[in-house]
Amino acid sequence: MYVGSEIGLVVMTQTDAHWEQEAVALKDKSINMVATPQRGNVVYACVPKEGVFASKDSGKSWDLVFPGKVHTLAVDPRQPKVVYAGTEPVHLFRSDDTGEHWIEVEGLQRVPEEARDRWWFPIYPHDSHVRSIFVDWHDSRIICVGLEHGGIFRTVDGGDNWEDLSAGIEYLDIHMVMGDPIEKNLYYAATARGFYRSENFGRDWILSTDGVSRDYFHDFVALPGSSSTLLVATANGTPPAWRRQEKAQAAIYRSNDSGLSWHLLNGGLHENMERMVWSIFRDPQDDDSIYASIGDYTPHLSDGETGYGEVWSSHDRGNRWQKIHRGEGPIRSVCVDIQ
Amino acid sequence: MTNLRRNKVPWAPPPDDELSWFPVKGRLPLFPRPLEYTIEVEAFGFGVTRALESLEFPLTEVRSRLLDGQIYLAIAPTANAEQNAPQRLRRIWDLNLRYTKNIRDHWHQQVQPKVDGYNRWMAEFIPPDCTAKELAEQVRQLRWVRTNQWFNIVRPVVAPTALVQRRANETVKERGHNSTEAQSWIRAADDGLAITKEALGVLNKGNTVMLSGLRQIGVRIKDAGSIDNPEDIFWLQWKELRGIIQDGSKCQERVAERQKNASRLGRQELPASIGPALPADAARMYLINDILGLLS
Repeated sequence: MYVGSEIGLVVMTQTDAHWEQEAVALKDKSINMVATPQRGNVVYACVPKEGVFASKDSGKSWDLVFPGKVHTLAVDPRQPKVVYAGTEPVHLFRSDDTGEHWIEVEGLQRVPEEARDRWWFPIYPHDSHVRSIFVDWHDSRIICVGLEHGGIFRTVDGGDNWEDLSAGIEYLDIHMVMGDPIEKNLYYAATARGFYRSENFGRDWILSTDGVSRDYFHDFVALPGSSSTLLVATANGTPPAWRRQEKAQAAIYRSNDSGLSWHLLNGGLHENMERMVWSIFRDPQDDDSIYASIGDYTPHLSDGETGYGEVWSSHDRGNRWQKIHRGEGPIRSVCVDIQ
Repeated sequence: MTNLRRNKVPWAPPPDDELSWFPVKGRLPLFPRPLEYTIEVEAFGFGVTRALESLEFPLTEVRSRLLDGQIYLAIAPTANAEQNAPQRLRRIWDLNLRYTKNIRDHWHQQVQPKVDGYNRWMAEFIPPDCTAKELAEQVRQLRWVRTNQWFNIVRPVVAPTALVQRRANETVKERGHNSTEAQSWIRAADDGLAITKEALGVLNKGNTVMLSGLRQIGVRIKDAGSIDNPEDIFWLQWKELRGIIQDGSKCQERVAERQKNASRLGRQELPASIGPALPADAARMYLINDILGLLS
């Protein structure tokens, strides 16, 4: 397991159902995402202020393979050597050789100016960034990007032409976009103001938050089944509101009907977590197992404070949770690799 | 906390004729020419919209249009927020804590240097010997710089000042004018007002340097034969100007036609509002008049 925190990356291994810390890498680097091709020794870490780091020996040694303001990564589920990196300002890059060489997916810059005029961010210098990349489960030419802020764009030809799929979403602070693993036309998007669902291949988004008493949506994951089970990380309001005494009031919700309705998961998890659930990860080997990374919101920490992070796991699709790791530094991402 | 529901149809921005429009006066030009409208008024709209929606004010857009040459504004609602207006309005306070606790220090330490930096950019945004393509790109960038300036003045200064003023008035009503709490809020509101005036001074300076830069471009496109007088640049639209800089097309007829049309404006008695009337407590209008009042 690779645990990306704001003060480095923790490598953990599982022995007899217990996770133990094996090593700490990329010390003092703020890691907002870790990703792997889910089989083998390759792992990527995204350090927004520096770039993409890659390890080909399961996290023992690391190289900066793509310098830049990278905010997100995605490995093609069908081509494990292909990896995408999304940056600030909005650009998408692709490597076909496990991060050795990179080229820009230039077609994204050719979307109409009216759409690009929405690529903006509230924090100085106000440049939007790619927050989420989804490579289709079944067709590597279909790629979606979610922009924070700016909307959702999709290519079906590997990146030459892009379509603006933002219609129907009120506030274009996109945190994550993903297609359903089973239903090809079903798409989901989590934003800073709602969770949206499209039965029309990413067009005609409809707010779909029945049963949710939060309105800030972050990462989510889909578990295969007869209809997909979704788990989504939520909070009450956007991060600046978390200065209040109750802080984030974070929670994880689950939908058993592909996002049509939701219920709160509280088997072991607090119903109003002060710290945010920043990411949820599905075990590549076990459809019932999920991992969640939790941590403070760094801008609200006092000078000198590093904050804390935790990793929780569930092996029954979210009914019961247990804490498997706690460490210094908010944990922004977790992923599990099969060795 | 909120209780969101699943909508049955995709959300779409409401069309103009469903909105309630009101005239705006003050800081924006009274009869904006096309370039003023497509740079300054649109930068204002985008900047104020982004400032207020990032603070979770229940709106999706501060929209503008011209009626008899004068600017009318409308506030487009948000379906999500209007389902949960009371909760959203309460949370605006949570979101503003970072600003309202000390508008002065936040402005001076974090925001003013950036807003001043935008003024410096606008004062020298035309590089000497730049190509037409480079200049067109700088003109594109200019509107974004101005937009960011509006945003950075409204979000951390003007909107928080309006909130603090509202809190001061409420506390006076509840606790009495001389109560310690009311006096504390009154002092905070007075201080916010002083900082608002200071911030608007920086914004005004930005407008002056921006217009000066545009006049320089006016000289350039006059020399290229696109217009007869440098001041005629203000009769072109922002997008048109970017094209004209690059292709050198002649715009004299277009300018003359617009000037002729403009000479007929301002003769009507304009209504105080257009479109369907809004209830006095419409969520989308929360503090809007206070904020526009501070801006004017």
